[in-house]
Amino acid sequence: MELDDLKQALARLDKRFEDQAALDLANTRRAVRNRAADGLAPMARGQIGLIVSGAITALLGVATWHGAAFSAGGISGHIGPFVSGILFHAYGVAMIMFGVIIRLLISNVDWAAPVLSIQRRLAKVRRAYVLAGIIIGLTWCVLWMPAMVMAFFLLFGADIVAPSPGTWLWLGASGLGLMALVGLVFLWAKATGRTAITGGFDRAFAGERLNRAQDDLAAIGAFERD
Amino acid sequence: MNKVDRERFAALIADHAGIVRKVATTYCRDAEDRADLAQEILAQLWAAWPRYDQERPFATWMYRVALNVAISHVRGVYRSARHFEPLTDDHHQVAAAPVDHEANDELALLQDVIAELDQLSRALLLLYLDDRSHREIAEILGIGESNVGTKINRLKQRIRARLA
Repeated sequence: MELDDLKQALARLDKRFEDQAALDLANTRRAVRNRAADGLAPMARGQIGLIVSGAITALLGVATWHGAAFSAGGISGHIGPFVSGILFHAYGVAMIMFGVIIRLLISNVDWAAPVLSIQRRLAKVRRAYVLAGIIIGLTWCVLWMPAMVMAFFLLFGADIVAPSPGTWLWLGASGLGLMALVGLVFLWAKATGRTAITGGFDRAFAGERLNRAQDDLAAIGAFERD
Repeated sequence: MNKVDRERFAALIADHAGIVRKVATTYCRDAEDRADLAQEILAQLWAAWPRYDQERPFATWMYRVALNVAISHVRGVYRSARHFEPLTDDHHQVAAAPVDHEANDELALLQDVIAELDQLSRALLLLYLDDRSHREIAEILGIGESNVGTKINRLKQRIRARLA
């Protein structure tokens, strides 16, 4: 039997399903209105959540640094809350940017484009989506400190950095140092081809979803090359 | 979209309904999922219709949308399933029909072959079996015509090796 012999099998299979799968256009029109247009809808909704969260975070940041700058003692008297506010302002803006960029990438998908280009684009969007989540999540290794500073300042008007700024500086530097060290180890493992280590990072930080997106991209690349 | 346009869309879909059925059959293992995917493809075709360039072949456009939706659908829905399971209730019924054993063997083989392929190769196989030209397959998938020929030859070798 040859591949061409399977053409008849496909035709037979299609004939068999022809009666079962009557295509109901009226239902289709309803479906367009009622169902998510495609599998990207949850991702698109997630970006709205990210944009709203980013806006709230940025506003809290602005409220903090503005409050610190214009309260008695000024910036020099409230350096901790001021810097924390600036950091959260920037973090909120970054969240909004991530959300907007991914949402734009999703909204411009033309399903009638060639299969490989669309599948590659979707895999890249999925990867960007997961990576954005990882970056936003990982930065909390450090961000919990300015978050606490902000919370105390906004809720109680207290500057918890002022009594012992050295301790906070040490904590901040430790957090940043830890993140930098983790990043360096990952880059070294990647550059030297130590897949056991990079695989461990993938499992620990990225999880299955990023691996799926990367697998999809790899499969598309392999299909093109082979 | 006006009534004439809607009617034109409905007529074209009716004429090419086999494309949706074949794509759904290639990518979904049971009747419910197949119906769900067919509905999703139709919904996306309807949404994309205003951008359809009437100068281009409808079948090519339809295949692109259908395959893009199907591959994305399968990646989302069937991610945990490592293999396409060829035998469903429908196929049991086919197998139970005592009319043509050779035809049943062919159907089973087709399902087995599909099950062994990745999502993009399934698209290639489907287009080839549906008698699409190399040029059309290249346009739909977005690869070179010569690449299409090479891949089809490999598929043929694979089938031969499987049956050897």
